[in-house]
Amino acid sequence: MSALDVRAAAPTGAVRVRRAARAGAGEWLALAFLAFVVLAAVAAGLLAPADPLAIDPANAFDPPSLAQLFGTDESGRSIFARVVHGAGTSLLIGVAATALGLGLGTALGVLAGLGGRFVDFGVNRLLEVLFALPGLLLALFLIVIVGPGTLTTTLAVGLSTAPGYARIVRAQLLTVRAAPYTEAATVLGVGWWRKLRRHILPNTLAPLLALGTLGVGQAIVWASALSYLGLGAVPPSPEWGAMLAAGRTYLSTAWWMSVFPGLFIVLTAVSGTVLGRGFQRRTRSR
Amino acid sequence: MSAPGDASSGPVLRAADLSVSFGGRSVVRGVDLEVRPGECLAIVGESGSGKSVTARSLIGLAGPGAAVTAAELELAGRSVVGSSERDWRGARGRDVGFIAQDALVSLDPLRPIGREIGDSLRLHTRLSPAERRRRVLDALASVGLPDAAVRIGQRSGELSGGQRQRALIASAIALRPPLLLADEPTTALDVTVQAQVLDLLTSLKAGGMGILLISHDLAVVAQLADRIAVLEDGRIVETGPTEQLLAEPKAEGTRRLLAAVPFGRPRGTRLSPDGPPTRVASAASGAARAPTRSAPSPVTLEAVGLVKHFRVAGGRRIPAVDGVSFTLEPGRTLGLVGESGSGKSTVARLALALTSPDAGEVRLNGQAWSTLSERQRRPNRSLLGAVYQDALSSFDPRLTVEGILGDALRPREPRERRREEAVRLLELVELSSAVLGTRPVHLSGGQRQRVAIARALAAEPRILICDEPVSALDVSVQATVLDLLDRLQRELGLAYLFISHDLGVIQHVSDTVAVLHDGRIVETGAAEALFRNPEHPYTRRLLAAAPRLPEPAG
Repeated sequence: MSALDVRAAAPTGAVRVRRAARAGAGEWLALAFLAFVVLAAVAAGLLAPADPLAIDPANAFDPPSLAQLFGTDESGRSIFARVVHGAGTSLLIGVAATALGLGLGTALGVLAGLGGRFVDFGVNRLLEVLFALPGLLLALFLIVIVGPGTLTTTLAVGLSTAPGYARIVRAQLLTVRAAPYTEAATVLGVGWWRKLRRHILPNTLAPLLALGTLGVGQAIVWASALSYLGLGAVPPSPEWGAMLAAGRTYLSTAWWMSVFPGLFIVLTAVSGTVLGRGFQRRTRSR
Repeated sequence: MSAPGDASSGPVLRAADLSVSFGGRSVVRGVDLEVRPGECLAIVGESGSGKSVTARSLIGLAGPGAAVTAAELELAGRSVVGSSERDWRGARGRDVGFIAQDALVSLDPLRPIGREIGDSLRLHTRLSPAERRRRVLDALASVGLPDAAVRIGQRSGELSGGQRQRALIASAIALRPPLLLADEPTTALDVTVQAQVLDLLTSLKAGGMGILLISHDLAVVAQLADRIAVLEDGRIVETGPTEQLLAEPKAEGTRRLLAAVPFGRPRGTRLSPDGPPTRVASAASGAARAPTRSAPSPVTLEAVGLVKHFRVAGGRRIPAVDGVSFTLEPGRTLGLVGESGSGKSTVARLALALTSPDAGEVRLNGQAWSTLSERQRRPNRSLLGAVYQDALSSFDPRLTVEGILGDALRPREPRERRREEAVRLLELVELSSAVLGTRPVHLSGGQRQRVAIARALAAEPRILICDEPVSALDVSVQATVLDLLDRLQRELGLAYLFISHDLGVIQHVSDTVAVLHDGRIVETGAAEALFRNPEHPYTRRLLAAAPRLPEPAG
């Protein structure tokens, strides 16, 4: 088949296509880091056998060393163990919030795209109202009503990202509905439901996969921000945002308390973005 | 240091042993070229022959990753071998002007064309703004763009296709470079506009400019070129004066390109060389197995007084189709010819009932068609198939060829059965079953159009609506697709509504021709009679503008 491919594309095009398909070093690094985080999330005990909640006042504020990779906090708890054990919470919030946002956004977007003029009008006005409020403010508002906690954080972040996804789904749906290949299906006598199932929905939702990867990193940052403000995960539980906040007081004496959780938040978000972008580029170059 | 326009009597372009490769794969292999002032050399070849890369390498734009080597490469008497990007920038615009194929994307949509054209003057000369403006106006006047003083302030989006191409040429010649590189300068244009642009290039040539013309269409080239070089697989296989090369083509490739020109070739004659015997055999067996319905009933498509309006900005309604009537007889081809904006595609969409007419109706076999609801129409959808200009966008991008054909076949059948059917359809359009697992993006233009035809045939239609099915293809590929459509019509007894802007193609495929102009059919009649004796002035104008090969002398 390869001889055929070469013939099809102009020489410059062929070179470009191949370049797009190859994963760069950045993407491999991002993948490796995320693999570590996922492993930490599902089998924290394997990576860090120490108990993240075990207090050891004698060894409080130990700087990073071979024994304590990331140092210890004010109660002598291992930062490394806490970061590793916190991965589960952060990742869960990130994935669940994104799934919620995507799910809700998709439902609203599909409703607007297929529901006819009046439904479309209604959904659009609703989205505009939601857009008028900054996402984080919306999340804060929700937490004020329901009270802090991991579940609330997930709900808050998920709900506040939904309008953005809804807009994208609606626009994509309208494009796909009017696409020549959808029209070609009509000409072939394909029924409405089958057209929707076979062509319209898959082509509308495929680009969302890449968007979702981008969204997980963003959601983790948001959730951490809420925890940092004391509105997310409640203190003793090892959550990155909460750890960042706890270390804030000792920043001048024990920098490692804030830096390592912070580093994990940033690296997770960056890795998600790098992979998401690569994903997007690949689906588009197809 | 030489003043612009100072073309000495030596060649304005000389290249010896020019080679280009991309990552070890050579695309152009040892090409020799020479263009003298006031002369036009045409490089002709099929897509993938390396003609565009050749042209681009002459101005240092072969692209990233290209390795260009040449024993000699001279522009306007200066050697440019080993030039830096900075040297190239000095040469472009001053020593050589470049016209790309697509004027729509070659002009910045946000800048007035006066500024675009003035760019080369600003970069290469120290003229005052007033003097520059005068030169821009001169350039616009010399390309025959009326109201140059108004045009100068307009953006490319405000110009028509022909005006845009003229503006692009004006920007290429503003500095009066001794050499003009034109890469498919008329491919995207209507025939009448194409004729105007060719006239313009002819007058530039008469003014002493050397032109290197790149094209896939020998008929276009024959109007302008003094000499022709035929490129195949990166090598020049034949070169010679235009008349001689057209009259006595020696190389196989030249003969193939010549035979592919449809204009003046009677209906039913082959345009492409016969395929290898195996392919013919498999096609024949495919046809034998083609399930012809037990005496398929003849199906007639009839349009009566179709009118379709479109709303434009400001709420005004303009008619795209204005009282169009025709009858498509079973097993015949009705050719609908018109330029862009004539309403051809709207007629196709009306016939396919993708849009409903504001007045008039389409009838299928004497029964209602356009007035039905989609649900009522669906059972009879299989009578009508469609082939579009842009085959690629008519395929779901997620699907492979197998998926595309499988969808068009009865979806409820088991997978293996559908696969067999898909292979049979591919045989019918002379494609190997190896493409089944391929996505259409990886196929060539001709292969894509064959897959589109196979899909259209899946439901065993009686009528195909072909909307510009070959206009995106090279002449030689076009020839093979036209031959295929002709064979299918004879074997399956199909009727075609064949829509095209290309008179040569229409004349070759049609039994009856209807000429569409501004949404109305201005002339209709039997193809042969209409082309021999066109009555309407518009038809005459179209016919005069159509590029054709010179009659062989003797």
